[in-house]
Amino acid sequence: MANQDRAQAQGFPTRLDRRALLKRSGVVAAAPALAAALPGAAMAAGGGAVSSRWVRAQEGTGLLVGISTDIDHLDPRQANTQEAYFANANVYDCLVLYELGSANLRPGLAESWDISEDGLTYTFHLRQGVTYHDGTPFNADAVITWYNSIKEGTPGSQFDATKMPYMAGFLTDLVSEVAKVDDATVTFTLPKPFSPLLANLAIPIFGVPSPKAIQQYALDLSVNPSGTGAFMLASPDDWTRDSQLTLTANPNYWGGAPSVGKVVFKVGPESSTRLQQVETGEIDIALFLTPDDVKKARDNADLQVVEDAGLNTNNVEFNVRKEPFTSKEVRQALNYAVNKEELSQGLYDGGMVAAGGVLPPSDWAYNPELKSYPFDSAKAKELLTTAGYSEANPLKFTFMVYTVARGYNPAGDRLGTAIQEYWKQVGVEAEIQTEEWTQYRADRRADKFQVSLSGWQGDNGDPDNFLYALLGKANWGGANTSWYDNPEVEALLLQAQEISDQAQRTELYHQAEQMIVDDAPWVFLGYQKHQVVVRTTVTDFQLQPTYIYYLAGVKKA
Amino acid sequence: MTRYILRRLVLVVPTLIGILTAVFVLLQLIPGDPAIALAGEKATAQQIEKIREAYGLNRPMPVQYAYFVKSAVTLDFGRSLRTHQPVGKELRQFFGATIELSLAALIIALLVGIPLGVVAATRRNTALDYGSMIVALLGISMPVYWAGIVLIYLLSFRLGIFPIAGILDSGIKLRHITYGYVTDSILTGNWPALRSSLNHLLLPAFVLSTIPMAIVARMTRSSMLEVLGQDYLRTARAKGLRERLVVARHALKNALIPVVTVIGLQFGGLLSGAFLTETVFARPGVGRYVVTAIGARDYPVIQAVVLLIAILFVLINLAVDLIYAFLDPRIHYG
Amino acid sequence: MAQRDESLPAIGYRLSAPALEQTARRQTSLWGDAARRLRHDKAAVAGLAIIVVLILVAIFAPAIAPHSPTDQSFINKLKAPSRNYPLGTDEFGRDTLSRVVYGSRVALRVGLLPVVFALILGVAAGLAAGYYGGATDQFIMRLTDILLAFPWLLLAIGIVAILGPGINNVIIAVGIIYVPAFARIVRGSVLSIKEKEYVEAARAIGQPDLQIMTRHILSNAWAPIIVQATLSVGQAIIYAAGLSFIGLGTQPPAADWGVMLKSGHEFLRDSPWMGVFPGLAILVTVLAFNLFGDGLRDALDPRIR
Repeated sequence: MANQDRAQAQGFPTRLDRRALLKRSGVVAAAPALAAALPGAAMAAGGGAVSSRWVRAQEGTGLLVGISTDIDHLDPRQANTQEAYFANANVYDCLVLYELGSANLRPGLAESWDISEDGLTYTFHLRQGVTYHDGTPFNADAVITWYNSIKEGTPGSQFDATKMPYMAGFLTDLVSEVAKVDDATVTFTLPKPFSPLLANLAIPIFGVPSPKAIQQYALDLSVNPSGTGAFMLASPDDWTRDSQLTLTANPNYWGGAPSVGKVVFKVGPESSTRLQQVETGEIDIALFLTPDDVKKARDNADLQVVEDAGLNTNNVEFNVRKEPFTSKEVRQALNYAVNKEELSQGLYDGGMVAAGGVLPPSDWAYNPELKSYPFDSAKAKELLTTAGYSEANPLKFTFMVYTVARGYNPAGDRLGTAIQEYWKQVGVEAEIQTEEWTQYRADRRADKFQVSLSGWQGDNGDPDNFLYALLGKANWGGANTSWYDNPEVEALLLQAQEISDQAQRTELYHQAEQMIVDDAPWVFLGYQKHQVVVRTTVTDFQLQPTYIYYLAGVKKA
Repeated sequence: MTRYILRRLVLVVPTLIGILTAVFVLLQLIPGDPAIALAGEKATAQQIEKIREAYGLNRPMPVQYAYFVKSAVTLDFGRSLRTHQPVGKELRQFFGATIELSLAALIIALLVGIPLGVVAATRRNTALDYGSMIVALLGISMPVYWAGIVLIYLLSFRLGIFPIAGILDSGIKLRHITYGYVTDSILTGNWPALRSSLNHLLLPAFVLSTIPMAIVARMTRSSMLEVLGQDYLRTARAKGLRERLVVARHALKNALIPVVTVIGLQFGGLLSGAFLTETVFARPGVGRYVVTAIGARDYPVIQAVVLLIAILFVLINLAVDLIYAFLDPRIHYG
Repeated sequence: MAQRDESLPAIGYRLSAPALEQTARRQTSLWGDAARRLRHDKAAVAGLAIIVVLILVAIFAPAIAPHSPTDQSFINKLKAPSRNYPLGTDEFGRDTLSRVVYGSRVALRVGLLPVVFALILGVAAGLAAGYYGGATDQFIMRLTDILLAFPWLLLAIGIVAILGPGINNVIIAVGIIYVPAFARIVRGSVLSIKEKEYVEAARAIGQPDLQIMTRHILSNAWAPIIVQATLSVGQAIIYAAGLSFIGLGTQPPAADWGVMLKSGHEFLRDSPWMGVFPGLAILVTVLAFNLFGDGLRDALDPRIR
């Protein structure tokens, strides 16, 4: 379970609006010299000068962030899109926070914590003197009120927070009791040990809102936010749905007043729009640009590309229980037929690292020695012949493709088109069936597909979150939609879950992953880099592996 | 006449009930489960069932229908499954922007289309006539989204005259009353916002105006031609009135009657065009709102939008028929 | 009422009941005269010529297109128009010209088939409503009212949401949009002809309903139906491309002008050729059908102009 991909999980409101983000713009940057020669930072790369008359004086407007789809809630408990996670992380604080630029933990609203030896009791020592945006003091009662609002939901409303599976899976199902010891201390009691609990608490959905606001507004907290974070919503008029959200710096922020006075989130669904805006200075930070646009940004002296390896995998899934994909030869042939290196360069402009297996290089159990499937169409044809296919009797199937762009696949349905063409080269006739994200997901779970695009964004960097989540039998119809089941692999993965020694676990995961690769339940494609384009006037902007960004320390010249 | 009006009014009721039922049936037919949409890809079957229960999605069909009718009658559509905000409130925000865009387009269409039609009619069979009519024909033959793309490329990307996307510049504050941005800027006396929102509105409004402009031009032309051939105008001319005066004072007034009534009929096309225009220009509005809602199977939102538009449609059609019957005494209705 | 009749069907916009019925009541059976008049209408002849060319292009697409419309070549992606690629290439390195050429096949399908679909359903519904009257008439007319109560895009999106995306479902969706228009025209015609002596005579000698409808009524109602059909083809192409533009239409990798426009929008900033040319193709095609349809209408109805 688990996931910060919750955002992406929601059919439409992923950051990548359906028709929006599929965009990559192309064209080799043609005129960097010309661009550099012109004043005003307004010129874009590409066929010629792009005029800048639309640059308005943006001084004093604060930090401008270009996002692709609307922030749905300024209530961490209800937040559902990647953008909302990001915004909420700057309005609310969690008990525990991520360190800047990593998934390691640092104190948040809890200044420190003790874990009992049996791992069943977590004692949090709360930060003193912290005040909510609405003036309410932060203390143990605030934590209790917040926790109960998740556990029990909002009375009288059908929108009961406990009905949100993530809240339960990440926290309330794991904890039996949360109790106040004194004003500055709370304890979390667990029925059984669960070491990732602290990491879970740092996910922005566990930001702690003001108890007064929780009681007063219930679910409307989402438009009347009140947190302890570095930024706050000063007036309801600062938020125009589907357009822009202005947050004002909280001068009393416990972590020190933010460097910028305001943060404006601006919605622009097209990647090329955001690129243009970041080039002209209409925005300072452009999120979720397509690989082509990132490439163009690299050629612009006013822009920098901030990137990390990314914690995800991009793949094609076979329904291994259905003919003809019960045949290992067929699955392997379709693996050999795809030129992943060319995809990486051609479709993703180098934004994807071609894959060896399931785990991305940023995962601690990654195996660089893994033997996978290089591009080899002769081998593919040979295997297909072995499996009984020929020109007269070609392999034919339906290839289900989602239409949205994903974190692990910013090319969206274009990936399907490209792969279909590779398969065509070896005589395979795949018929593309694009589906709306919701429908696509439902069909996969309901076992109503033959072959489908797929992918996964890691939640906590633990290999189990990839290997068992995606290929364990217990997750059939959940995240394991290839309906893969290899008893040997299953045994190894279950064994690894019970061991705490990382070296031992790594060994088990290496064995299991090699078996999985040999079984080829997927076409292993690659891992997508996490890239954000930022104007050079912006400094101290750091990526979090979980696709959120803390803005309190970001400076703008 | 009275009988006709009454009959039309009475007939609206079964139509509305039909629309209501049609919307409900359509929603049931759309595959995909809002519970799955809400739960996300990592939820278990049990969690999905919990959601289904919480949202009343597992109630028997007739009960759901009853709730649906109730929400339609009371115009209380509850809260969006996606944003958890009251649908009515959200709808008001998006409708304001869409209506403003549509009205702006309509105004442009009239300001350009009527003169075009008049010129074509009074200079019949001249180059001016052919020119105007070719422009009008291009107008109805051109996909609005393509016109939008071409203009964005030329005027925004290349020349930088208009902003590429959006509805207001970042950093400009605007207090909302109607959620029409230009309107609100004027109402609150916010000049920077007015300038910015007008700049954002002009291009999409022009693009959207192309089809109604073409229709109005063609309509005005043929209507003018008919009126100019009437006896009373010959009389006016015979009295020695100057041609320009004849056209302005007598002909145009009468020729515009059908033009005015036809505007009501443009509503549906205008709204469809507005949805596409909003997509091209990345403007917040009902179009994007409802397309997102369909993707998310956000039933309350889909219901509200579709019903509201359908009802608006029926009422406008009714009004058009009545105005027509009223204005044109030549028509007799049974 | 003539004014309304003249311009509205051309636009494909929804008409209120009286308007359409009026159109239909104006019967003509002057086919010979019409053909003669049509020959002298330069615009209509030009429109017809373009349509013929389009059909030829669609038939001989493989011979005309310089490249394959689907073969991808990432080395050649997003190239500006050049000698080898007269209209440039797209994000897969596919030749825009070849895709525009092949796109004519899709365009003709999404233009013609929905109209045929609407014609069959609409004529049947209109005949039944007009001929039987009473409750049947009321029911069918209320049904068309309901269909007319949705903006076309919303209706089409809804239908595609139910049936799933893909060209065949787009054809059905766009077809349904046009059913009411045909139903109303036919109903109007039937109402005006029904009481004519020859129909009464046929009824008196006991001819079956179906035979009366097809032999006596329908044969006299063709003119407005054909005009409406011709003018609808162009509009149907725009509608279908609009659905593809928002991602609900033709499935990849098929060449479709609407899909190409969608990609063109996404790559607009630096590769404008990707969107400009398919849009131009739509414009020319729709213009041709509108020119021809206008001419046909004028030819069949000499009272206007």
